[in-house]
Amino acid sequence: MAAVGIWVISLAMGVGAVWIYAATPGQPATGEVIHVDRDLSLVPGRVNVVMVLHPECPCSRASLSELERLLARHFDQIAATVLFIGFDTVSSPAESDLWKAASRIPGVRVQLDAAGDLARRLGAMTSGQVFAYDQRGILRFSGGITASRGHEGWNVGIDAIDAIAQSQTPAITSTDVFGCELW
Amino acid sequence: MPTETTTTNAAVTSEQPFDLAATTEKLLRAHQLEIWTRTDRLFAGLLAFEWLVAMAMAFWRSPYTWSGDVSRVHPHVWTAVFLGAAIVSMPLFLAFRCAGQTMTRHVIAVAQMTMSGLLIHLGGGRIEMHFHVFGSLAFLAFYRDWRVLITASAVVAADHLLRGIYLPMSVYGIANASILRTLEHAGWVIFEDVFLIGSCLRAVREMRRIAENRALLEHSYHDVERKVQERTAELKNAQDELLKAARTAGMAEIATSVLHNVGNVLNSVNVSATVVSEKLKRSEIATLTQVGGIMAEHREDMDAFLTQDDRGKVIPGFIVELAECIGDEQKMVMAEVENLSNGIYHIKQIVAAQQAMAKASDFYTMVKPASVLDSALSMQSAIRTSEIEVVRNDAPCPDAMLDQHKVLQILVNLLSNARHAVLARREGERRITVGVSPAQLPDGPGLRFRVGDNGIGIAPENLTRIFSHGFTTKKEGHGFGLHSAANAAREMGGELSVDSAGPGKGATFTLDLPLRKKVEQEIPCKAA
Repeated sequence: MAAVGIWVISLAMGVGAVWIYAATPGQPATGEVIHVDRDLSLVPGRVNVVMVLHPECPCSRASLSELERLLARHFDQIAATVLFIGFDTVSSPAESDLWKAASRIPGVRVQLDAAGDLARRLGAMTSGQVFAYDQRGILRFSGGITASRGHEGWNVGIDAIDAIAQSQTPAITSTDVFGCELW
Repeated sequence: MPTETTTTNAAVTSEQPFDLAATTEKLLRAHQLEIWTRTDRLFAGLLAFEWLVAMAMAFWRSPYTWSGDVSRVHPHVWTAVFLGAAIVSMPLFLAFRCAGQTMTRHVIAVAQMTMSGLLIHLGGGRIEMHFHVFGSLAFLAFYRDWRVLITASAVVAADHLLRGIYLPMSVYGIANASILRTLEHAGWVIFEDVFLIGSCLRAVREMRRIAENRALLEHSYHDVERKVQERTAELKNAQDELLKAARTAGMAEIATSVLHNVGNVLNSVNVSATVVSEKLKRSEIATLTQVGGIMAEHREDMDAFLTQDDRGKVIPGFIVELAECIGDEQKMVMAEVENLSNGIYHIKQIVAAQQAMAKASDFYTMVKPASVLDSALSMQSAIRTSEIEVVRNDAPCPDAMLDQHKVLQILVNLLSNARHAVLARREGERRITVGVSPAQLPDGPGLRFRVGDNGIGIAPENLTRIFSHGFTTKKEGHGFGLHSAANAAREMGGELSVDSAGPGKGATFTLDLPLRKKVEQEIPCKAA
């Protein structure tokens, strides 16, 4: 009986550690609001969602899945750009699973940020960082669109972008980002 | 830790009073233990498999985590390996060491639901991975123990409750989730539990009904078995009694048979003795005495008496003729004495055979079949004195292993019957035909003895019962002879049969005997 008790406690601790790890966010974006038209060629008259991804980050698969669901709901309102950062020592982003997955999402424009200059200017620090601009090109949301690290499911980030896509004021303008560190 | 010590053999012995409730409970426990043990083992395998799947998922989906262009092993990998190992270790141990015990299945329930959480985590929280929770609950219902479902559901509820309080974003996607969200998530589990628990309770009720039926069935079975044993014992006693009676009857029959056979031989002995007696009565020795007296009177003038007296002159020739007559008489008497001796010897053998039969031995010796027939004919010397023509019809036969005296008894019997049959004819010649020849029997080569007669024959309706015990057509018969002869033939593996064209047309008895191989002689046929 005691052994079983110890076992249960061990499991509880193990599971707790896993969830704490999963719920620990990365660093939020720190950059300034840049002139998006010049650097990102946003689609005018639409809500533009820009997602910055590390091409090899497994946790960002969930962010991409959430983006896909978002676009499915607001196909006519949202134009999405996925910005992959290229690292010299990492294999080409175009060969990564994430790039291929992003390319398959209808309405998504995949863009390579070879040296990560654009991502730096945007202030992205964590893979999965999303910037949402309204129809007038004003940044309305900055953060992640997953509830925890690599975990799919409804969350407040998605809720905020839903609101922007419907020309409503989002309840929050920033969320934690869960993913690999970009720098 | 509670233990179930139910045995699978809940049979009710005939000595114990039958208690339906207790027996049902025992059988139910045995059935449940079997199910629990089997399901424990099933889950041991399932958990081990899930652990492998978890590791495969981690290696495949998230082998590395990155910080810029630097990678390291993803915590998912370590989680899958070590937390997975921790999850499966205790249930695997208990499933093989304490299978069927209450604690084991509750530990398995905890492990299975924790494994659900691990797989959901490693699967990126995809909706599809949550099906594992509901599938696991359904699997746990295999135990047919609703308490296990409660334990499993408690694990899910505790996970959501604690994360809802401390890490609400990770489970509900919002920072300030109300308790209602936890209840909503738990509600789906409860929804499934309601059906599964109901199903478990129904299953246990059905198992109890099955156990009750089985208890009744086993009770009936044991009752029937006890009755069968009693009846078998009664039958055994009856059989023993019957055997005793049969043995007594058999002994009487054997005694009758022996007396009958001895009687047959005694007929022959009697005839021989009568012949000898008659011969001695009519012997010329008396005449010799008279001659001796005459010669004694003339002792003083013997020469003159033999040469001059008319009576004396014929005496020498008379003595010569008398000597010849006495010699013939002696030969005849010697022959009859030999018959007498043979008859007495045969009687002795019959008695010896009877004594030996009591010891269940066989008397097989290598003999010439024709000589056995000769012996039988010589024992039936009454045939010779009854003006009956005896025709021999033998074919060349090899020496054979025969129970000579048993064959002799049969043949003497048949010859005796044949003699009576032909003597019963009022007119015409009387003839008995005897012979022995090789024969091909159904089971192989054999010998065939035939004793036929042209006597009064046998009616067709009597052909089938002529060998029955007590059946006879003779006024002074007892119906033992042919019956015992047929039995003796069967004892030797042979068969005695009869053929008759009908009344007045004679009859032929056929004795078929298988040829024994010589090797069988060396092996005792029957144990003493």
